[in-house]
Amino acid sequence: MEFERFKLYWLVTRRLALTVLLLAGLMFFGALTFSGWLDEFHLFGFPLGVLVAGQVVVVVAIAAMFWFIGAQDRIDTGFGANEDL
Amino acid sequence: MLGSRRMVNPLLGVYYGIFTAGYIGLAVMLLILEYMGVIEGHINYALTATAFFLAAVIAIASTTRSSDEFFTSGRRVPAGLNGLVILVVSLGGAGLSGLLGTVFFLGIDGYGLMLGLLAGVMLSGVLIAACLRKAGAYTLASFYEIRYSSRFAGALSSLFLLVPMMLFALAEFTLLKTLAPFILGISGELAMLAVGGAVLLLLIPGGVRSLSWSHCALAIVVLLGLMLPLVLISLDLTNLPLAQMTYGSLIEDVAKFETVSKTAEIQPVWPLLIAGEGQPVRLSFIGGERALGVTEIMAMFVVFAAGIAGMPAVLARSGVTFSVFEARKSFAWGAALIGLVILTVPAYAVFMRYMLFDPQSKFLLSSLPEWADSLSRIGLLQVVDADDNGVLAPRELYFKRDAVLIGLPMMAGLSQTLLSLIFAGLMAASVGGLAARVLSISQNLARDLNPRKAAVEADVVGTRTLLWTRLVILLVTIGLGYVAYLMEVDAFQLFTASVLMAALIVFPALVLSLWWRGMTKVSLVMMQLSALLLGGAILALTAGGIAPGPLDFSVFELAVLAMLLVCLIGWVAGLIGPKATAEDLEAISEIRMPGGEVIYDRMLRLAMPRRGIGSG
Repeated sequence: MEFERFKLYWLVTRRLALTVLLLAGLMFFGALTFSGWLDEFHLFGFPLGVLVAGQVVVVVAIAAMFWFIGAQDRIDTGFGANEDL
Repeated sequence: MLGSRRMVNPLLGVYYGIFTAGYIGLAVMLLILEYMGVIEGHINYALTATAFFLAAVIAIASTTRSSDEFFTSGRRVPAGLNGLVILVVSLGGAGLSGLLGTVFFLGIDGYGLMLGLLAGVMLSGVLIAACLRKAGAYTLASFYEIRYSSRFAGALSSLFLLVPMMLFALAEFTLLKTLAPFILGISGELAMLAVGGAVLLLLIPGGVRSLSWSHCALAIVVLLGLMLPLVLISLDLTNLPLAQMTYGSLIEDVAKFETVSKTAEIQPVWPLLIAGEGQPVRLSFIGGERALGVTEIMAMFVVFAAGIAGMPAVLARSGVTFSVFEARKSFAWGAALIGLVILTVPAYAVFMRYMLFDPQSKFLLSSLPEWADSLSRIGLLQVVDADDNGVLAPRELYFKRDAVLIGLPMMAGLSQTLLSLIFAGLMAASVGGLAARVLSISQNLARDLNPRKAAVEADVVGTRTLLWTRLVILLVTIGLGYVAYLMEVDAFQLFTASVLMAALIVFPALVLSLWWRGMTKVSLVMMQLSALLLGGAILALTAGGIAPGPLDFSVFELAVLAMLLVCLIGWVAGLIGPKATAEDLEAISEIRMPGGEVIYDRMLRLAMPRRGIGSG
């Protein structure tokens, strides 16, 4: 891969990684910060703070992780940077 | 041998399915025999011994004489199974038991630690795994050697990397030394000998290959031990089997009971928790006064995320996969499985609090319930009748942190067989975590700190290298076991220290090595050295994380400040020190590109003709 194309590839890769981590970080920090306040509300029998911090965040983070590897693989394929297996 | 990779066995899933079914079948059979009164004791032995016997059989069946197989498992471990290994290696027994205890005592404050574990595996998968897989080095120190084209940087790094790995291994040995006598009824010394033997059986035959396949089995034992008994407890308490979905309905009741039972005084919970001392439940699960402030919870989250992402033994799992894509996927599966554990942990805490605080259950000093008697006998519960009225309030029951995993099924009156399932799971997590560290330490010593490393790398067939590595595994196991035998430090305290040191020594330097082209070997050494000194100072100033540090900062807040300082030191060293060489820049460009040959494999392939091997 030529250098300019590689630079673009790395830019897109970096942007994806940072976006995923930034959103996940906001989600984690938000859940931990506001769980006390959210606990005043209830959903499915759970205090909302416990539901969000202990369930929703976990499931969304795992889903985001699988989405990330799919998106990164599409970037790799698009730039011809994927592996020849 | 290199260049002749075997394909992934398509029947692997079937084999582990058979293992799972067989293990559950044995548990059911023991359960029936127990109810029939045929067997009473020795069930702990039966399940634990069976789990380890089968894991050892798998490890021995994975015996290899190929260097490639011994150090990378032939780079053909499927992502899902690698995720199972990541689960066991990340948590270990000390982590699992400590996590349960933390959420039980701290309530929602403990979620910082819990979510930190998940975030750590995510960070590894997003930021690190792909590049490490492309570099293909057997150890993190060898990766640094490739990244900076410097054997010195690699060797020096391997010394720094030993610190978190040894702390983790000592944590597991200590946990097993403490709990195995209660579980198996043998002395601590004998338990350590048995554990050392188990570790050697899991590692000596096939190194990483044996570890990979045997740890999948151990992970299944951990998950079954954690999940199956909880299903029955959930059915008993909520009439529904999915504890992860049902515990929420009990939180309101728990909150009501807690208001009645708790003491007004909020004493520091974390110091007693991390030191493994007994204490009553003094904080509500949600609401009310909290043990930790928001910044402390955030700092705990950040340190555990960075620490788990920087665990060398966990990162080594990126090198055993078929491709870069599979490496990323492994960590996604690891995150999913850790997520499953995280969904489960609060259920343990809430169910145990519910049973403890239920006003209908009255504990009399003269006739302690069987579970309290059992926990007292094994030293996990101390009963203190403070008001001397013969009736025990929950605040007079001093639980030790490790009591949660074992105590809940005892309180629920589950059978010995189901208790044994949990014991076996805890032992599997602990031995699994320990074996992974012993192997990583041994590889560091046998390869990266070996003055004849060039000869080791040229020995591609690996007969002498493998013999030497096996000998080092033996010596490391004996050495760590002996140190743990002499030590009197709590397992979770050692685990936390290991995570903190990994967060300081490994994570910042590794992430900057991958994501900043300007990073140099001088920056690397400066970062690792300053991290070691800062980490050591933090642990010394806070008495191993127990006491508050300078300016009343907690151990985690100090660690986050230290992480920032380490990054700053690396950045400044990169700016004012020698600039990155053309070789460094070429190396990082190649590492970042998923396609092409694995760099370390190419180095080994090029080393082959010099020895006349495979040159035709």
